[in-house]
Amino acid sequence: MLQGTLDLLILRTLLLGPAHGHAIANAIEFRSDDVLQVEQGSLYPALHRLIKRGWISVQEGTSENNRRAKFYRLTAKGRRQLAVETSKWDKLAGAIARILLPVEQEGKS
Amino acid sequence: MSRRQRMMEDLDQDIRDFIERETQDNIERGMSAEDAHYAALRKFGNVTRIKEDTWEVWSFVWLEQFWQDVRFGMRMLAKNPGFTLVAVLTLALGIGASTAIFSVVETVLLRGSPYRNPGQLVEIAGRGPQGEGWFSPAEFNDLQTQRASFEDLAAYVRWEFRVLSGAGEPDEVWISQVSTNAFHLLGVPPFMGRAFAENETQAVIVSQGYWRSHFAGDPKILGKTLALDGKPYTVIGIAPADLEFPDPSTQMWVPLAFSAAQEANREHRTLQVVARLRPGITVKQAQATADLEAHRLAAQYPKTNAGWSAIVKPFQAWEVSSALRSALWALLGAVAFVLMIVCSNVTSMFLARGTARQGEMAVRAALGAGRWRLVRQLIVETFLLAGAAGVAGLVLAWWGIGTIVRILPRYTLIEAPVLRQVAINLPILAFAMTLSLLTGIAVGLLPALRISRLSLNESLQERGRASGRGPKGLRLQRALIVFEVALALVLLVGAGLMIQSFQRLSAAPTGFQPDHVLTARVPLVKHKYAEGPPSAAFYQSILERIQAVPGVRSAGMVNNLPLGASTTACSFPDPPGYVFCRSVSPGYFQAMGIAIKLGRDFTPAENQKDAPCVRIVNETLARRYWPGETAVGKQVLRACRNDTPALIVGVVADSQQKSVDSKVVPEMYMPYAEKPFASFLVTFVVRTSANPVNVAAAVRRAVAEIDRDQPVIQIRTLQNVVAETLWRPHLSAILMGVFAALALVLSAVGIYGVFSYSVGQRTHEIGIRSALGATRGDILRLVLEEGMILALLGVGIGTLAALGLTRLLAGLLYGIRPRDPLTFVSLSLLLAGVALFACFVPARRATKVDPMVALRHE
Repeated sequence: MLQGTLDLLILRTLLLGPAHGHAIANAIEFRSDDVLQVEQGSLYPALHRLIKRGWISVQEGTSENNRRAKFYRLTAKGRRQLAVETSKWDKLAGAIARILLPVEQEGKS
Repeated sequence: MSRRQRMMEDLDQDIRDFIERETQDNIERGMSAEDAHYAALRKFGNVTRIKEDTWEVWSFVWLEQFWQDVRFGMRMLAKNPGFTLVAVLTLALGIGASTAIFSVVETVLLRGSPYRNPGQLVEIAGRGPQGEGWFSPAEFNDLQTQRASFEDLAAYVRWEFRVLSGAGEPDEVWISQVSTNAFHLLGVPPFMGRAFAENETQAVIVSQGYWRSHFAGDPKILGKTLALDGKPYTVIGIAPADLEFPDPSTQMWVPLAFSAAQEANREHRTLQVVARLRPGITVKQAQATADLEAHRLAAQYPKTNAGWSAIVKPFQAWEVSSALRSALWALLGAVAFVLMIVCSNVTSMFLARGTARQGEMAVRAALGAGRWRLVRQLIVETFLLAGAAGVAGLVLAWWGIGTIVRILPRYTLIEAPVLRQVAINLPILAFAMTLSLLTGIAVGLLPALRISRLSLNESLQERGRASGRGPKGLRLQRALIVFEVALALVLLVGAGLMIQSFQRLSAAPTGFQPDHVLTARVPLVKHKYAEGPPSAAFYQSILERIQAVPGVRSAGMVNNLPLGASTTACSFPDPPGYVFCRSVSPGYFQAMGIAIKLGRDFTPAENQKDAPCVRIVNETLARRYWPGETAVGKQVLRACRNDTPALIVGVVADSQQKSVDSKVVPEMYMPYAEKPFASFLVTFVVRTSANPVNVAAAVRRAVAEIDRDQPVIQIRTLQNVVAETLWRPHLSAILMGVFAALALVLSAVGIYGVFSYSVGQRTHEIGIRSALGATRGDILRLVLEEGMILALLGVGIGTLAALGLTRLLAGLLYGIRPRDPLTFVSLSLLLAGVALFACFVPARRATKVDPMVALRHE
């Protein structure tokens, strides 16, 4: 997977609201039609990298079945970063798409 | 580490939660509880590694892991003390030898100029109709007014000997008179004390070398008064260690001072001039200034300055002789070879051990260690080894440098006195550290990469089986053997040539008999005894006393002992030319053991001031000037006072004059009393019946009885005089010999190690072979054949390399050609023999393999 892609996907997922780790992993898998087959565990180093950069925050909460769980939430800084990353990604995807134009393939990796 | 613990617990909780949810999802998808859990775990990945990776996001994890690696590495090294010791010692030998030689090279060849902005320094020489020369005091004063191009100018007198008294044993010191501004002009601040003040005359600056050797480095010497030729001088400073102005032998500097009469002198050109150019001025521009001044002087003082000019050229710092230079480069090359052999050996060791550790590495990888982590672990281990080896190597280097300095001659002027200052300093420490680091990388990287590349499955399955051989690993080890043997051969040949060259130099005929002879220099104290009848009488009375010492068979005196630093040339009338000349006393030839071929020695009566003028010549002179005739009875025209001729009374055997390997040139001897000169070099030669050193005290006493303040210096045997002139080839031969011996031993150890290992790996194969009927001889041949192929390949490559490389030694060899076939053949055989023996031991072990045991072993 491209460097930073996972970060972008996490940020994009959290834009819809706070979520716990498993939910994030599921969302990414679901939304990307299982194309991004990640070793689920690799989510954690990525999450912590984002916390360290201040793009997401973490809070204790209770989940739907009343269990303690950690919720990850997008911060204001993370929101701005998402905009930056998205436009960067669009540019890149556009560039790749133009290169691959005749075959009409999506910029997947 | 509580932060880590807290965070890890949190993370643990989170991950457990995650897996539980995934398990739940799986159950909902219809899996059994157990399957669901394992599926979740599989999908999640290696928990331990993910936790580590997550922690890495937060911490200076590399530092922490590094520390872990260090502790683990130390445990691993301690667990294998034999391996560790051999590896450390081998590396230490390489690092130590390289550091020692590099420190010599650094001191002698690489050290930069001690002068400030050396590019601005120029020397100015005078050029008259008779060729290049120096300046008279008046000319220097005129030149000093030319400040348009020159920031500053200083004059100096290159060297003169003075007698030092009033500080321990009277000694002779090598003095340079310099303008008081010289130190300032050169930009060399004194090591201690201060430089000369303007118009100061009775002050002296002592060289650091002399300060350390003669005054034991006592800082209290500053302010004390020394007597130089009987005149008082106050010590005001100690020069920096690397100051070699005007040349490295200078032991003291005193101000250059002139009387009013001298200042006006335009005829006696005794001064050399060094100047600093103004910033931005080129040598060419300065030359223009000097030309103008020369023209002005020529117009104003036509008698002394017509046709006279001043030449400005870049200041040439004193340089090491090319022989020493090439010897040092050769030694550095040799030591680099030793280091490469050392690295090959230790790499082989690591490769072998790496295979043994495959199992351990596989387990660590299975437990979640990344490849990079494994490589790092192994590299840290090699660095630990290399670090220990670096420390041990520095100790070895320190000892080696001490030994090298001890081999240097004590009395003979050597080309590079700076050699005596070779020591371990900061650049050398940095060099040793860098070298340790590099050797660590060199020996560790390859095995580490190889081991980490092994497939996990394969290794785990093979674990515990002794036959986990990597055929590639052995191929690399075999290549290393060939490489080592080739390097060793080059070193052996180099050392063989140098050692034989030194032996031939030592055995070279000198023309005199150096055994049972003591020599002692008694330099003339000019302010007490003028050179002439007073000095002749002084030396005559000393000689008589020495001759009376019990145990002395004969004694003589010469104004310039053969094989010394300087020679004097005298003109010879017909045909006009120059010959070497020495003034001697009667008995000199007998004491030296120089055979009188024809005629006789001087008589005591001839060693008088107004005696009839007589000469003795060597055979080369006799042959050159009177071929086919008897020289005895012939005359040397205009050789004596009032241009009267001298009578040749004897012809003596040729003897070496400058060094044992130089060509003998015509030489003429005269009685000292009739023709005294170069008296600062006067040396007594005493032939004894027993050990010559026994009469040293008596000789010293004989002189002291006549003059208590007379220096008696460089008391040593004639054998020692000869040996000291050979210090450079001697040192080269010793060091090359040591390096070659190291190379031989190391390559033998390397071959032995690799073959022991390979035999161990092939136990199974050998067992099958002998079960199928292979005899012991067959097995022996199997191993030896492989060993000999590698050794011969190495010898072949080494021979080719040596044929190319020994050419570089040509300038250092005496009496032997760089491609001496005997040396090449015999050393190749020696190396091949040693290699054969080194693989014979493991081969014999292979023949003892019991097929039953070997096969059951699997």
